[in-house]
Amino acid sequence: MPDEHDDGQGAGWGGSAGFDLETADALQGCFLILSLLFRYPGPEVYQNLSEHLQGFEPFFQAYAGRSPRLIPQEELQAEYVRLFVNNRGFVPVIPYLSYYRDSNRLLAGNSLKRIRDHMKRTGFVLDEDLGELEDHLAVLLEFCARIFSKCPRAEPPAEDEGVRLQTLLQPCAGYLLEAAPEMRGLIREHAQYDIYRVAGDTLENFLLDLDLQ
Amino acid sequence: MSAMKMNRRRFLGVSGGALAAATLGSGLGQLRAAEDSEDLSKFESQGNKVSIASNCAMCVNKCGIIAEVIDGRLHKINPNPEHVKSRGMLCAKGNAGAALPYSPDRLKRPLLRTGKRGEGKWKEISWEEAYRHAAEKLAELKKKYTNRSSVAFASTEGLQEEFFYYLVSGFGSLNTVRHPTLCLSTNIQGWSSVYGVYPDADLRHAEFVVMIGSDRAQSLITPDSVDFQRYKPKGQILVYLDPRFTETAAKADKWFAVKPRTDMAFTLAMTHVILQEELYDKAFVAENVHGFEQFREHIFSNEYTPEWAETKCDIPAEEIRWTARQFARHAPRSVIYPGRRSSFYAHEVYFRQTCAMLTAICGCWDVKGAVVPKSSVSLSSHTPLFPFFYDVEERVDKEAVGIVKKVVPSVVDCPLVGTGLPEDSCAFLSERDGSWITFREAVLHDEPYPVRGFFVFKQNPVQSVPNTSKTLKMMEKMDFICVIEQQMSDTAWYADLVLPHSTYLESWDPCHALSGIWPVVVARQPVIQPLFKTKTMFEISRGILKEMLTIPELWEDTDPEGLEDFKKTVMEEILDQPIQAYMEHQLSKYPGAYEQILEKGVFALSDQPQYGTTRKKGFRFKTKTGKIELFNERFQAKGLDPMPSYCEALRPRKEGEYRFLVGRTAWHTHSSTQNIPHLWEIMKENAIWINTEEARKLGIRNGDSCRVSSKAGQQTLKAYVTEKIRRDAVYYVNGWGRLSPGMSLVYKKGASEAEILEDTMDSISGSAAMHETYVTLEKA
Repeated sequence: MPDEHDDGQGAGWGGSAGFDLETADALQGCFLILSLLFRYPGPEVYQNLSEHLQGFEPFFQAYAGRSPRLIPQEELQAEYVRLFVNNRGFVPVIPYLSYYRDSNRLLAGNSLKRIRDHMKRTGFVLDEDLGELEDHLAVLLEFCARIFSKCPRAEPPAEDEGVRLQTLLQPCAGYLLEAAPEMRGLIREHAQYDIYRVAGDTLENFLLDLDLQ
Repeated sequence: MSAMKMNRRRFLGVSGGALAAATLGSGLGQLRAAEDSEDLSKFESQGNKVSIASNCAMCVNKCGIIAEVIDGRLHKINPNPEHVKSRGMLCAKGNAGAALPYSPDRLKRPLLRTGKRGEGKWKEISWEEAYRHAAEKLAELKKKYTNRSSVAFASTEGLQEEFFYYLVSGFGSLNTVRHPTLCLSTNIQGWSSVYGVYPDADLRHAEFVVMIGSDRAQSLITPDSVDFQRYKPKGQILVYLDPRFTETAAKADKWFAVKPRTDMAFTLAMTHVILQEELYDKAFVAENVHGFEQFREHIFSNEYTPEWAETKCDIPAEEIRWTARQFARHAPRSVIYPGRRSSFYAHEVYFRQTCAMLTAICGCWDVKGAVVPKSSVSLSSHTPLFPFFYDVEERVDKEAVGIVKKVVPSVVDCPLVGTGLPEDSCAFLSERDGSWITFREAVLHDEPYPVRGFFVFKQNPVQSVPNTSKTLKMMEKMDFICVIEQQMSDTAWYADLVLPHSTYLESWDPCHALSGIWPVVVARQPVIQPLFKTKTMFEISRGILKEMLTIPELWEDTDPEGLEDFKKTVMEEILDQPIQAYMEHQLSKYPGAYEQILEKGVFALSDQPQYGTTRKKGFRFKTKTGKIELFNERFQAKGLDPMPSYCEALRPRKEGEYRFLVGRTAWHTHSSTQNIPHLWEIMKENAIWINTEEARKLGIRNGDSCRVSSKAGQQTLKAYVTEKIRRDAVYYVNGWGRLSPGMSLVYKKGASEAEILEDTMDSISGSAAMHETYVTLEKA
């Protein structure tokens, strides 16, 4: 990302820079808006995108160099299905992490198992009525957002709070980071509207910026 | 752990609080915090390994499988050594089935079309919305056309298919069209016209086997393919006829590269030899056979001699004599293999008749090593009562004879037309099967009435019915198309509503009695939980029928009493109950059988072959005379030739045309498995077989890209130049050259069969005749 945006105020996961509630709140929002973008735009999701997308303009500008423009709901739904759900015989952008991380390019591989276990250990479970897998991009991004709800609201946070949160975040966000370049490439190749290209660009650059290694 | 190097300006300008409140705080979240009291062990991977017995569904055979499941994920599928039918075998397709539930391309939720048909614009809808939509469309169609048969229902065999028929009968259409007229209906009609039933061959104990165009080493059928591989090397003699040197030919004692469409000359001449040399089983004939004298006179007066046959089928007369004598010598342990897919030629029913008649005159019937009528384990049936509707017209393929005679080339061109065809050219269709070719012509011409609704379960007619462009035109005429499938097939792509069906590894499938020499009962239980919001046909029929019951207009043309019976016997007693209750009832005659099905995946009354039922004194065959008929009384009554007469093959229309042949491989099921990575690894595209000498004439070398053209269409694929095919024929296996740009592994790879095949059919069974198309070939 271009350095001209850098104000030099690094927000550390730990150490002297500390980890404040403002950071947690902002990170939660960033993961959440990405989660919404990569979710099927049913009426409620679409409504939330309509209401909140604009508020995240600086975020998208910073990581994609432009903001996502919402298209009419029916068009967005068709585009989402075409890209991520079912196309004529194949899915251009598989939204499941196992597909990218496990060797046989199938769903529900070992990565899903590890993600599911990690979520469970962190105290979260997937809503069973959803009929979805835990390694779906939107679910993982929501999980990452929920990590920050674990940040104690009392000020100031413990000195090692950032490290603790990073530890919780790392397995899933790390998996996301591994898959993000390929997903971004596929989105760029197949998307008909810019909104998902912006989302893909932002996802990869944002995760890179988190420096989760 | 390194320090966070994030640039705060990049995201600190945003606040997540409002968004979090609006989403996570308002029930829009996908995750939930686990309750303190919640037992989370069920979500944890503990390395728990279980083995679950079920049955394969990668093709029609339903072989036994043992699924190895670890922490809820299917890791491997093994063969079931205790399965009487599949004999501990599991083929490449069966193994590859383990990847099916985990295919990223599978359908996950109901999809409703929002753009133009085929444009690819969909939205996800809930199952409740999907059921409502389907029910409302059925009501609209009924109101608009005042004829329930204006909605057609297409399906393929499978354990859930009976529940598709609950939907069909609940709506009341008579227009159903199944796969047999693309598969084995000529065989069924031919053999049944002689014996009243379609039998199996006891390949395990036969001593002499004649296989005509049944490539059992590649086109797998259990137990036949297993027995063929296992017992053939132990002394069985195999004579194999095929224009190609196949894997089966490689194992045969004698392979004859028969001229396509002339197999019947071979069987008639074999019959001539056996009759003339009096090698037939006189006692069996005297006791069991009707019309023997007329048949003998028919064979002799037409002079169906080996010398005559040699001029037709290119098999030397002496070889025909040898085969006939050996056949009689080994009788009754001699078999003319009935085969499976047999939709080769127009006039095919008569050819299949000759195979059945040969076995009959030699007494190769219902004894060890012969052709044997199938036995079955009788299941307890339910008694669903469906309403009787008034607004229903007869099936289109019974009424559309005039249309078919005008437009189907074989019916016009076949030299036998006019010498015995009845007015209703599809006289012997099975009740539900219909005739695909006739059905499509009737829909295209709106005769005798418009068909505007189309429900499809597990069929892909765009790929499987000859002449794709006609199938697409037929679909364009529909007001509404609903497809129930596992993947976005070429047919689903043109639907309005797509309903995702669970895979066979995720569903309970009811018991099914597989008849045969070794009859068994199979069923399926889920080996894993459904990954997505998919459902079975049992659940889908229940959902749509329930919605239909809330629309009064759908029930105006039935009497209230019938409707109440339907609600009670179908909805309350069957569909509203767990499917396991249905299965338990099916097996209720056999204490412990249900538990055995769950434990072993299969139930059999015996592991011994069943012979001799029809040999008992006084047995009445299911024919008009109650005897084995060499003179067919039903055909006679319908104005058909009562005995098989040789019909000259259609000739090429011009110089340089080749007869186009189709076939199968052991690792693919029709057009449904090519995009499965493990199977694609074995065969990545198809190629057209062309004889070396013909290729030289055309300047085509091995691997060259070739254009193949017929009256129906044109395809391009690579050439396989080989001595293994006759000079007058070319061949490629089906399943490639897909319409779908999304079938990532097979798109633009090889060629489609349906795009090339002309819609020619057998006039008695209504079966598509897959080997009646002539093509030209040129270097692309």
